[in-house]
Amino acid sequence: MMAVGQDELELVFQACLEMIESGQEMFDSALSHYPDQAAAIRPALEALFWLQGKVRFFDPRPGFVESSRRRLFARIQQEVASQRPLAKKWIALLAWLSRSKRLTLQFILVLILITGLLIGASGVIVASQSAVPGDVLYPMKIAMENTQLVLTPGSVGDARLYIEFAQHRLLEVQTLVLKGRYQYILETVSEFERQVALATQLLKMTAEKGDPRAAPLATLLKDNLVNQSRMLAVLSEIIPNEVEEAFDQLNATTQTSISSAQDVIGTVPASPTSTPTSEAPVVATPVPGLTPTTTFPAASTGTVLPSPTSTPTVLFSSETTASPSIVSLGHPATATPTATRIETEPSLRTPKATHIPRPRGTPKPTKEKPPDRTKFPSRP
Amino acid sequence: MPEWHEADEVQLIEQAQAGNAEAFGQLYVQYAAAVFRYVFAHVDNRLDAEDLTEEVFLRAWRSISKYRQRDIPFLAYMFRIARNAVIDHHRRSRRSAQLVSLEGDDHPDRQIKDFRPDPGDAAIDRLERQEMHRLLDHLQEDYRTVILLRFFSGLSPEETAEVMERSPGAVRVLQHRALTALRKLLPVEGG
Repeated sequence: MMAVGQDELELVFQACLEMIESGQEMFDSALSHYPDQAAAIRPALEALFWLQGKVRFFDPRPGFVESSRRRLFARIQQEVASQRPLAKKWIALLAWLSRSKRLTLQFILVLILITGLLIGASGVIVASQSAVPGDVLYPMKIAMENTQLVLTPGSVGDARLYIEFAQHRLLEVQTLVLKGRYQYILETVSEFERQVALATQLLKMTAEKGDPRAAPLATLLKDNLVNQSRMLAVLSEIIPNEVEEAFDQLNATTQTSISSAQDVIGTVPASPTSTPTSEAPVVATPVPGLTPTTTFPAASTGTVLPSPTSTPTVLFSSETTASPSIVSLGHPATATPTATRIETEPSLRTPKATHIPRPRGTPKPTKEKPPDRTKFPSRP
Repeated sequence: MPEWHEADEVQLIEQAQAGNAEAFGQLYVQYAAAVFRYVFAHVDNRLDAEDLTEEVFLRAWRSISKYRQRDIPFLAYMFRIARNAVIDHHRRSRRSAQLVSLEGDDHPDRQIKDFRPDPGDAAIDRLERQEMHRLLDHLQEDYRTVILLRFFSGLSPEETAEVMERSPGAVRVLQHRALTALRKLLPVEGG
């Protein structure tokens, strides 16, 4: 009952308040509408009346609103200016530059120079890919290849790159013949031999580990070499005498490497069970530029030793034999370019990049120890 | 005073939200006096009140892009900002020993007032304001707030409810009680 009375009092007070605020009624006339509640709401209305007389003391001074509006506007403009977007800052920069023709010219020149450098650098890299020995851009091509080798992790990746680079060298030899730049052929052939030997070694290592990636890579190497050997055979008909030896060397290495790739493809990870009967010597496949210091007959091992550590270590000296001497090593100039297997007396031959044939139908006499990577020549 | 329509306000708010400072300036002209009175009732110094009023509108400008008209009336939105600005001002003032209690310890004996002369202000006006401050300081916080918002700044019960985050009905009850309490502090007529 008390709550209802209080609510009613609030409503009456609100009604009086609205009448007074709207100007419909004055203080006393508003109260006269509610004589029963007048005594209860009178104090609140008296306080309101008193307040209304005091509000003016809290009014802003004349002119404050307009003057402060201008100040506020200036502060807002300042804030907006400090938050200019990037485009406006560029426009401001250009406007600043436009004050001086010389500054503008220098700014534009610097922009052109930077743009040109960026475009030029990428263009040079692309152009260098078709360079051949003797070209100005050829060192850049080699540098890019070396960078690729450094950045590629793992022996499989390296093998893939060496296959690719050996292919490049063969294509370069063909281009050099067609351009008549015979003086560069020998060094290109030497580089081809080095790269294809490294590719073969890495593929053998990969195959011995049972890595399935070895076979497709060996197939790739073989296919590349087979395709290129046809072209080389054609070119060998038109080359001058001065590079015949180099071409013979190239053909021999190509055929040997095809055979090696074929061996890798046919490699079975499991150890052979039959005892080799061949007395043919096993010559460590040399890395061009390195001379194997040890040769050994396959029979000396008796059986194939699965563990690389039990096989005689093949050491490579860092002493280089690359260069024209390679051409003369056991390869008479009259050697038939198509000869794929060279029968030779091991004691009379200096080991070189040759494959010594095994009797057909006999198991592989031995497995070569995977080459010690630390003995590889350092990457150029 | 030009007639003010809600449609004008809506349009000006939208323009201000789009970055139109002139439109915001018109909103300022419309509401600056109400905000000033509210602020001035909380501080002793007119110059402080003027600075604080500008500060309120600057804060409103910075946040107006986030304002949603359907959530709260603009005037209530402004007074929420003003209320926070006054609280911040008193926090700063406590550190500089110019304390006017807004929240918390509001015992007059423990307040340090700034009685320095207000430049450009008549002495009689100062005395009137000091009397008002003294009376308001004796009221509890929600009574003081409802009196200032409703009768100093002219907010409607609904707008006051939005600022105080209460229902309009609660504000109506509160305003009646606040005025009754204030009346008790006033001298008895003829006494």
